[in-house]
Amino acid sequence: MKIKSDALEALQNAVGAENVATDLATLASYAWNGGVGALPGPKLKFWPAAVVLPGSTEEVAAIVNACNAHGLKFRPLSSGNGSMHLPQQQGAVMIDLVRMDKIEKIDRKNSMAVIQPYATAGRLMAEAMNVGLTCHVVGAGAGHSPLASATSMLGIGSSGASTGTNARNILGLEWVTPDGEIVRIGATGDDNWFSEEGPGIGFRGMVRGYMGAHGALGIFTRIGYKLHPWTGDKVIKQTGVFPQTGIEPSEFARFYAPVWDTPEQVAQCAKRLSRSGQLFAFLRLSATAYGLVLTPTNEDYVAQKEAGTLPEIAKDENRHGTQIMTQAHSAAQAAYQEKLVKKVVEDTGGRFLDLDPDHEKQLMRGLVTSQYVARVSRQGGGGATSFGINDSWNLWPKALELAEELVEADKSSDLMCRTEHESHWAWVHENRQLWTEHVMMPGHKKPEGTGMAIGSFMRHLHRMDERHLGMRALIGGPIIDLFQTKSKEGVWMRRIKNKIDPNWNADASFYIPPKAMPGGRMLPFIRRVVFSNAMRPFVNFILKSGTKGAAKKPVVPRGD
Amino acid sequence: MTLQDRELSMKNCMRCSFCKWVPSMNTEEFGHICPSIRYGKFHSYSGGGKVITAFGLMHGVVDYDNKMLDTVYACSACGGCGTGCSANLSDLVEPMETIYELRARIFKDGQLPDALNALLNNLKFAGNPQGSTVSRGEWAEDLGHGTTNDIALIVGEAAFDQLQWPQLHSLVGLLDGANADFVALGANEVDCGGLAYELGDVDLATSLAKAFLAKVQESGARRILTQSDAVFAALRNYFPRLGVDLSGIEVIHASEWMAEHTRPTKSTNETVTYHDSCKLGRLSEPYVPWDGEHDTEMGSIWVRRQRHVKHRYGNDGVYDAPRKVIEATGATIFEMPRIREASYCCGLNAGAKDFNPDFSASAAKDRLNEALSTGAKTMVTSCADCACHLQQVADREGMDIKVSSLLAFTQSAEE
Repeated sequence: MKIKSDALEALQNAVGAENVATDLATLASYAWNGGVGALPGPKLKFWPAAVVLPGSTEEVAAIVNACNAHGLKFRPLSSGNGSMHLPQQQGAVMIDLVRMDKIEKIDRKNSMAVIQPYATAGRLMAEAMNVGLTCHVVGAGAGHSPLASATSMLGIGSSGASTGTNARNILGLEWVTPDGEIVRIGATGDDNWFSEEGPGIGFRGMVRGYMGAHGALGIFTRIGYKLHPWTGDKVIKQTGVFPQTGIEPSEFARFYAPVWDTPEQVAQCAKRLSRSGQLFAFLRLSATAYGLVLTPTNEDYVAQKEAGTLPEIAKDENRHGTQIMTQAHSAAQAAYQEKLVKKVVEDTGGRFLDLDPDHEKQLMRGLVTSQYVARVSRQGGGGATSFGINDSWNLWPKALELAEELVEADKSSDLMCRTEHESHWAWVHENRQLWTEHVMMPGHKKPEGTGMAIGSFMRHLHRMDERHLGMRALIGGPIIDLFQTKSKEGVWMRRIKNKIDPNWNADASFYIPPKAMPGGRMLPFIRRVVFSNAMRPFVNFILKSGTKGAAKKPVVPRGD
Repeated sequence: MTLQDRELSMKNCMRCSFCKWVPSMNTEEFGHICPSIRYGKFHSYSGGGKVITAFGLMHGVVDYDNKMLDTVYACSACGGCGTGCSANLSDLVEPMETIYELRARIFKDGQLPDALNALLNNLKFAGNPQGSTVSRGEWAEDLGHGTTNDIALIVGEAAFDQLQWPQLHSLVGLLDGANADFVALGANEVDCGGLAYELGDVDLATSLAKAFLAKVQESGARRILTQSDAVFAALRNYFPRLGVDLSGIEVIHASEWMAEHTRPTKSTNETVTYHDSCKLGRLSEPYVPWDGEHDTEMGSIWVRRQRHVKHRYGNDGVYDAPRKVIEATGATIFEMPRIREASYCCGLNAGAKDFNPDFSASAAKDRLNEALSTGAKTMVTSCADCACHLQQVADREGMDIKVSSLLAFTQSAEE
């Protein structure tokens, strides 16, 4: 869809002509359907009508007003990791917030920062560490936008024991609503209150919800963001040779790699250490993930896997293990933490693996900077997917069991990763809860593998409901309706969307569709049939054929 | 290799944007690794964006226009995107490989911008990209031009820059002082084809590379020594891509030779910072041709079928030798946040300055600000071209910093 000249002129007036692009090369780079959130089908899928780069909140509001005046949908994009924040319909206006990249302030006294959309976690962390603070980093790694994570995504990361979750790290926000109004709520520090929320329902919570606003409720242009204590070096000392880089542990930091015989023991340890409030991080990776982190190339990983020479921590027999990192403010606290971890691990029947010091440093780097996902993505570019559980550690053994069943069922297809029994990542977050997600990696070069992964993903969600395995996460769009619980989250999301954006001007494809999925009360029954074991071959066949067929479609050209 | 051969790798791009950032961020201000996206801001300027452009061009849905060409050539092909990408995806995408093929495709389609065509024409008709009328051998007129059993001294474009001649003579002096068996090719030297390759004229690059090799072979040398980072990168990285076989001839950079064979005659207590040029750094990582097949093992692990494949992480550039040479003078190096494989380009290379001087200057300004952030007042770099470009921008912007090539720095340290 070619943008009309008057609409283009309005956008150019809003931000200056040099900050508006309608050329095909630029539009293509905002239509790329790949990686996280990619949909089955061609690589160039939904072409935007224009890409605009605002430099201020006022310019964002002007763009929104221009879009509304000319009937154009819009979608914001911050640091741009993956495809979920690309337009999911033809002819939308992409609002790339790349020019709004400031860390406006680090407020040491209040342990918070005020940041713009394109301020990345890596930059914020570097700045915060200078004053003894750090920030939560989600799995996307140092290049992600904490603002986007805190307002628009789930916002969970592996140092969650000490840095929480971004749903609760957001302290204040500046927001351009879908009708172009600029709203400021919450706090940006003691010198500049936006406004207090007052009693009643938390508005911040409503705007971002559990899984994030996904760009559907307007554009967030500034947030107050909670930071957390950091007792390590002001500048991280890097060790090793890229990509096998690590960090030199600071004086009061400790790292442990305990293993147990059963998942129940892991859960016991997680619960007891959580109660102590002394964890910096408590993370369980799958054996394959460890193997990939600790080898520089896939070829090395495969060779070592076949030869049985992978490090102990990356062996499947040690899969009931975790990494634990503590950091203290004093030698006395460090000694206490050391004693505590050893006692709890021993009490719960665990033992400690003796790791190569270089491997320890590499793993610590992952814990502090969330570099893990980056070290694991290389196993295949074929669209990994995952689902989440956010609940009690009592659910851990059951979550593991479910994953094992589903992996076993799909193993013979040769379309999914089959290096291990399951691929769960799990960690303590907020020194309380279990976060776990089962990472399902479809085979590379095989579009039908994506179909298999989608089937496995859906069955996972369905079985989670059946077995009461807690809140799902990392889902969006029509899947919300399909797996709606008694809380009726889809109904509430649609209600919020209708209230805030009655004309649905902001692209809501990854949030909730305008209309509920047909089937209504029959959906739970339909799910039971479709995702039953008996139907598995048929559903897999449909999904595999569908994704294979979709991938073969010609690239969609931008129509005029 | 053609653009079509890169399709699978292109499809692997997750648009994760790792190509924009250094693998480890140590500062708030200096996290970018790609000067092109830093300048252009639209995603199409990034390494991943160029991969998408290439894919779109290949499938006929992206056309040539000024903006598209700006995204491709407001770029110094510095390889930063490759390092950033490999932090996440190892060899899955390798954006630089696609960028080389994209440039070759644009040249083949006759769409190379005029400013860059002019460089190629100069290469063809004047033997150097700037069309200099200075004789290539003039700098070495007083030197013998016989044969050697050891070293052929190759100086690249410095032969046409009279300001660099004192440094070349200083290097010759060091070789003489060490009783090295060497010969300066002088008038017999020909362009190595590196720039032609970067501009996509693979045929010209190949013919130049072959002629270059013939001249070296005629000299009898078993080693090539060059102070030119551009030549060094071309020999180690581009020649294997062009099928020009240098086996039997060792390629060494002047900084490596100096670190091993020379002692400075005069000491300094200066504090300096060191700029890893892309071409002595990550772009000089030797390229090993690989024509095996990609496959998956264990259901989903992407592998290259032949195991002995070299992954290009940028580690095998030359990083330590120039630092040793600087430190041998007694100078102290204050490192910038972005160094070694994660170095930030000055924006000069691959025709970028000729095509879009604003881009080139913006990259240099970023780098100079980073140098100043260390507290050093002098920036040293192995590359005389980088040094010249950075100093020009520093002077224009009124930045209080002196930029010196390694040879000029060691020379001044000796004076």
